[in-house]
Amino acid sequence: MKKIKTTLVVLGLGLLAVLIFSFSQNFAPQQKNAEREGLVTGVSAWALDFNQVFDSSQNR
Amino acid sequence: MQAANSVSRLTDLLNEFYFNVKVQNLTRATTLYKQLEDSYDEFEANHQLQTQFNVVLFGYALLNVDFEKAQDLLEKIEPVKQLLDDQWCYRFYLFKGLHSIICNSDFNDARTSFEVAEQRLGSIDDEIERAEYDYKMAFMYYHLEDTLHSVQYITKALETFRDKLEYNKKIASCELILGLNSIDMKQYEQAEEQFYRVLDYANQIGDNSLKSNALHNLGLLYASQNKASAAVHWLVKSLSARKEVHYITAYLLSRENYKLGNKEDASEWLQKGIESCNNYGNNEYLVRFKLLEAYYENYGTSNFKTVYEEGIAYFHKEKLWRYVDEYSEQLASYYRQQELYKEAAEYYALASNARNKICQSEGLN
Repeated sequence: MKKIKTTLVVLGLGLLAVLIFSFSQNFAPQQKNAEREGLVTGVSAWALDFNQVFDSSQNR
Repeated sequence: MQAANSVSRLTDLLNEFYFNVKVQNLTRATTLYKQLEDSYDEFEANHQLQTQFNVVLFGYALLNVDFEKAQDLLEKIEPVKQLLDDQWCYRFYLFKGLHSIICNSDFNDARTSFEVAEQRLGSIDDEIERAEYDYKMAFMYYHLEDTLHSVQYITKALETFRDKLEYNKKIASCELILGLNSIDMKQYEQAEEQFYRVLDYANQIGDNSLKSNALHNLGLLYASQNKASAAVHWLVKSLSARKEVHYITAYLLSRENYKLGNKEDASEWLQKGIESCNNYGNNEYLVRFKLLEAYYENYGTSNFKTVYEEGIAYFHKEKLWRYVDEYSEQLASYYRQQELYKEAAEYYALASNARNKICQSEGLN
């Protein structure tokens, strides 16, 4: 009986640790990224300058 | 036999559709989209093809700036993504990363998606596609201010593009990223050489967009060294090579003119920048413009404090910690000058807290 109790306590503590870990991950600090001041072509055409997407030769 | 032919035809069309979305050829992509839509009944019979179609549609929606549709497609694909083979999985995560950048400016989330894509990169035979992936990673790491990784990826991409004559423009774009990383590393002479090379190439091929970006970055290079006159010179040139005012160029032009004491020019660029922000729907820079104006036009007035407090609250709400740090420090410094030490301590603490958030976020990723 005592062994079962100990096992249950250990399992309970383990479960608690998992819950605390996932909880802390959910509330991990998040940040959006401030736009950098340098201008780049290519991917930035997707992200920043939608006028450029009409240029099919953009990636070459 | 007929069914197999149909699948093969649709697969070819899908691959062509993907390629055109990827290279941002909107006209051809739209034609292919219409052709594929006519075959929608055939897709419905084949879940795998349907999911692949949705992956390209996801990228196409991003290209069309249709974020609502992109979000819908993302939610459709997520539960059935196990139907995608490695190559399609790579494509899905590539678009998912771009989605995070475009819709949420969330480069950390983008990094997670790109890293999943990278695990499938082995299934991509095309070395140009692999190099383009490296280019995107370099771009993302530049935005994350992770110079080391950005330089590693861009060097890898350059090695591939350098062997291919027809990718000269891509080489120039790589040089732009290298130059920006050089600024971050304070290697100003190197950055200058890199931007001049891009400028020469852009002039040679008459590419105004590339030329304008190179000129803008030269302006940024001099602004980073506190050489305001030189910065203004290149930034003005950058805008004259562009059809529209870019709000970041206008922001730098306004700031550097203020530094030089040219209030009239500074104010003019500030108004143009605000107009550009409104056109692009960019709130981040709209707030930055208001703060810039308050700093140089109303320093010490109650309006200055109000604008700064509201601006900092906005950046805090948006979790833009870099700006919370920068502007809280400026406001704290103002309070310290006024001998309002309690308020100064409050804003220094806010700045310090923002720096901790940045460090924590970097550590967790």
